[in-house]
Amino acid sequence: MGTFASLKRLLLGCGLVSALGMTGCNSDLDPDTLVRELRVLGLRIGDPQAQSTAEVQANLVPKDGSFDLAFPSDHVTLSTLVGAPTGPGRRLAAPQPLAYDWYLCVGIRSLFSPGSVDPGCRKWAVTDPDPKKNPALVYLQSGSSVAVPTTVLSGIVLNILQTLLLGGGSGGTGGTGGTTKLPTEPVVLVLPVMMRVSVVGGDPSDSRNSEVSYSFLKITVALPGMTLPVPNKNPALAAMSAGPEKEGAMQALQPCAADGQCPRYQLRRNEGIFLTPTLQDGSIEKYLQATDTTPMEKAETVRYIWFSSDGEYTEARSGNALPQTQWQNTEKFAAPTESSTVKLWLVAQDVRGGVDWQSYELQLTD
Amino acid sequence: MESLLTPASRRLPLNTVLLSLAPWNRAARTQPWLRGSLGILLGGLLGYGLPAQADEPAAAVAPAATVSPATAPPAAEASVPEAEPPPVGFAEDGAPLVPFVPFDGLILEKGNRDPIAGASVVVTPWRPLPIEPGAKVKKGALPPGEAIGPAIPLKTDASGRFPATELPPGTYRVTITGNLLVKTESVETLAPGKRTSITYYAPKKGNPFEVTIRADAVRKEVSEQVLSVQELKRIPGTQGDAIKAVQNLPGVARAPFGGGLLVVWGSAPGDTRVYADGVLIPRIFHFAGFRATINTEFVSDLTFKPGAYGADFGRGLGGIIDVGTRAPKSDRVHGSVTLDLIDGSVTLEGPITKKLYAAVGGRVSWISVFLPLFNRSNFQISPFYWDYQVALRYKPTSRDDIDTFIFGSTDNLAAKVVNPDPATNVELDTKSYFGRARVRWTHRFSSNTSLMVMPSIGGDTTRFGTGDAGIGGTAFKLDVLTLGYNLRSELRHRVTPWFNISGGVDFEGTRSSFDVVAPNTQPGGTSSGDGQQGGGMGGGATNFSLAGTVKEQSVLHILRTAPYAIARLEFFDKRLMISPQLRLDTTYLRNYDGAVSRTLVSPEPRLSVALQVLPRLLTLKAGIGAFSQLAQPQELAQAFGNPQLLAQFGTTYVGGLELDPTATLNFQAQVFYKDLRSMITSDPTLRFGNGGLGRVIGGDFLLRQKLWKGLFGWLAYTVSKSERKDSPDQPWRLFRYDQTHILTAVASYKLPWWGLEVGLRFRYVTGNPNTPTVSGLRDTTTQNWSAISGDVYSSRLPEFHQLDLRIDKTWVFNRWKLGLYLDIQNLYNRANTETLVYGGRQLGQVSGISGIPFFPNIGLRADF
Repeated sequence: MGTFASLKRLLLGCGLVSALGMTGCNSDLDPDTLVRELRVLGLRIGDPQAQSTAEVQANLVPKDGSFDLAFPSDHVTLSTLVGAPTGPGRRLAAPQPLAYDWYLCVGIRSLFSPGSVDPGCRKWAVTDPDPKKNPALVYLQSGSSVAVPTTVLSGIVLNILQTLLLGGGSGGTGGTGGTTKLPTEPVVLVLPVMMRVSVVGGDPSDSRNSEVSYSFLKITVALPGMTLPVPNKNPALAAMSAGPEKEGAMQALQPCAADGQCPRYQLRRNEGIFLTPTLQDGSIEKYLQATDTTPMEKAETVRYIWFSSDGEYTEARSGNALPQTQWQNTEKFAAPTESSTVKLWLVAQDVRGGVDWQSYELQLTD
Repeated sequence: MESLLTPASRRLPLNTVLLSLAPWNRAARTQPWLRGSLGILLGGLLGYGLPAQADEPAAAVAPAATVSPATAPPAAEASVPEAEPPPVGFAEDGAPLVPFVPFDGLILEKGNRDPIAGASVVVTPWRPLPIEPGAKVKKGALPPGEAIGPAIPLKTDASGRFPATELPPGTYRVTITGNLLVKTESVETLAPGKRTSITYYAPKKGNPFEVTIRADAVRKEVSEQVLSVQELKRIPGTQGDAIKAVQNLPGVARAPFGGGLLVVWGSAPGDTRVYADGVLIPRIFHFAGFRATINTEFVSDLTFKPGAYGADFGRGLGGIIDVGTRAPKSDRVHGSVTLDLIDGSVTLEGPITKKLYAAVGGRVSWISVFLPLFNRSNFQISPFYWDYQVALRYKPTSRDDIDTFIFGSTDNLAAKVVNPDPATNVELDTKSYFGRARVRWTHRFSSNTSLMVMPSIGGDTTRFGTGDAGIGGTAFKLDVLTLGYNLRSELRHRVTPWFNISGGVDFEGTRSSFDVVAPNTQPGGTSSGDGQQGGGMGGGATNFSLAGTVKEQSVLHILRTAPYAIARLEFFDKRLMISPQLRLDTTYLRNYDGAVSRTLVSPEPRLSVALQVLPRLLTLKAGIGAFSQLAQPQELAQAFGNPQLLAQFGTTYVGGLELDPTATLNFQAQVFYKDLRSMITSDPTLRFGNGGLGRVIGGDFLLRQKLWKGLFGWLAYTVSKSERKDSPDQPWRLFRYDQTHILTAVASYKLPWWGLEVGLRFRYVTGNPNTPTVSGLRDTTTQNWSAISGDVYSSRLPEFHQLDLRIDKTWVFNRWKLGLYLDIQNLYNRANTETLVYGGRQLGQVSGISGIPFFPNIGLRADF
């Protein structure tokens, strides 16, 4: 209920001010699309192949007089997309090795308030203790893409289940408000997965040398006698077309390969292009959303988040009804006149945590 | 000087003219002044003959009034016979030489036609003089003339009439004076053989839109401000809304964005309870604080008690605001129409029978019509509100008074953000309504004993829905319906001249039903008003789409009964007053399935003392009181709150002085301390707990000039520090709305020219506390930065200062008045930062959002 109040306050505050033609909520801050420093652009849960499962499911099974978790897979893959532009006007003058450290946040507030990160998991300043010694965090692995064994998750999840079901709090979906009540549907845990990327050998006191990001690992546990729901899958980007006219001829834009090699799209300085991505069939799934009466079947909404190392987008984010956006090589930033190449990143997300991404390069000509 | 008098002459037909000479003759023989007057009068008449305009209707004679000095010769100059000869104009046998005619009149206030009682009317025989060639007669001035006889003084009665006077036909100057009246003069001609009755519209000094204040005997609290509407409506920045002026009083913090939050003496907005005639109302202001929910036309006074108030009120840790409504007018039909850029209202009132009077009013907003003209963003917001009032008063006997007030208010707000990004689309529809109906019966058993019984019923609805689009694709729905039934009753008895006692009961019953669909997240704030910035989770927003959804459909009954007793003892010729008081607040909660059923009892002793050190000049005051406050119903809900929450408690201490150097100048100063316990805070597992503590220390003063020679205003200053602890083992930190210095200067002056009144308001306030964002984590699910907050409320926003201007111009016509006002907020367009926005990589950049810029509002108002 406090959520309503905060939301209403925010909307009314910003909305009224902007609606009255006053200062408004936008300010002279850098657009979120502009990547000039080390930036985490996406985290993905699921194997690399297209439309892999974007969450973890398990059955609670009796074992030796107690219970254990049975996972359909022996691991869960975590991977990341990091933008680290180099060159003039950028933090990194030249490509440098990066370190990736993955953690699971098990702070109690995150358990009782799914979709949020416990304050104990937000301690990443130089003055804070080593995150590997933070009791709210469980260190997983290092690497830009890691396969975490489900056996690591098993102990954590069982402990959490014990806390939620026997500890007197409300479950992830139970909402029992202090009364212990066995769930009638599979228990859903939403645990923050945190990843810190840092420049190897960089000054740790300089915030530009590292960044911490998070996503949420959804773990659905079916108690004995329950059936697991259909898991969410990651969407898959199929293609990108680009052209100078919105309704004109478009040219396919080839993404960068896994090894970092990028075909380049030629573009004159101070020109813009319209970018239109498409998804593979099956990327938009259907799911049940709770309403005040009976759950309603809804189709996923996929949103596209646009980033670039230079230039400006007319829309920083677009939706599945309007995937297209325009990228402009503006004079707003100093770099376009100096850069000969611009990197574009596109992240596609569904509303349930599924994600896919691609990156592209533009060659600017005079 | 503009035209001020227009007599409306009503002649009676000749056959109805009553010329009674016998009484006149008798009076002339017994009243020496009348004899002398008559002699001079008739002498003048006989000497000069009948005036030339004698046949002209009186209405055509006296178009104007003026403030010209009376030129009547002193009565001593009259030639009064020394013996007992017949008066001039009379024969030896006492018969008049010329038949007299009756002259009477009615004096009404110009503009609103209220009868003016006690006005002095002086009728002086008058001889018009020819206007010299080339001489200019000032507009509105009397035509040249001279007094030719002694003045005849008369007084108006309660109905504004002055008695019929038998006078010889001829020309007379009529001068009307009185307390608060502008002196007015007129020349009338009494035609022979006709009765002359004239209605005068006399202008009043001061505020032409003055509202009469009901002056019931009230118990004065240690810390209390009772303000009259006539002053409050003229305060700049309030758009003529008297209730909004409460935000300018000492002890009241400034609301962010000029909204309607009431933060009193460092308490949370929800801690201050707002009443209308003692009936609790959920909202005092419409959307964004634009306007009060009760039309100013129905308000007689506004009582503000910031703390340590009497035992007849309770259930809140903050202050009390009680809007006193006035009885409908009983003399005739009155009405008003008010229009400005924000809304418009209409009122109508008057007698239905001799004992039953009624008033109705309504207001509707049209700000949503104008908003799109200014709105350049994709945030489409459409606020709409309306309110209504119906008042009835019935006086069955001289000892009984029954009055009813029915009122309600609705606020609808539709907001829509259409973005290419589906996650930021917003479709929001909120509806809030409340309605109340109360009947108050007051019976006076004797001059020492009276009883007041006031039952009331009402309902509140709050609906918040996001439709199919939701907010970022996540559905929200909140539907709360509360039915209330209340009773307030009090028996007052004066036992001895120095001992009064009052006893009563304050009962409030509610039945709240909840129908909620919302993400399963921890609350972002509490009713103690201290939700931490950034979502209340130590910073960082929640991804609602991953949170799962919780539904609740429940019913909660709350019955609150508070018997109370108030004794008042006065010693030493009433110079020392001691008032011990006790309130026993009991609360019974039960939810629909009986899963929660609890009774909370809170005994609340209170004491106030006042000592007149220098009678009528200096009074010292002190008070102490215990208070309690229940959690909000939503905090007690099963799925979203904690039904086991306890009440919050507080003790308030206050001491001060009151100084009255002149009849209109008043100075009050006080220091206060509040100790708050069991405050509601967010809890990681129970959602809400009672682990918080609070303390507030401060002082304030009010230097107030009541209306005096067209000037009123005040200077209010508050210095305070309000702190909280989220748990006993944590250090003290600032309260969310802590404002160290609050200075408000208000002045309004009626200029001697053009009927203009000019008002200024200046405010200086320390910036609100702010929790700085020190860094940001990248939330890759929302693709936003999630704040890592610094110490809670460890920095402040920049200071706030603003100057507002109001100019009123009023045209007063005989039967109605027209007012035009210009209310300019933020005259020098100060960019006052209301909140900070952090952005850029890891939220390393910061920018401010400013509040209301230079904002003029023009309004019209007509009264009849």
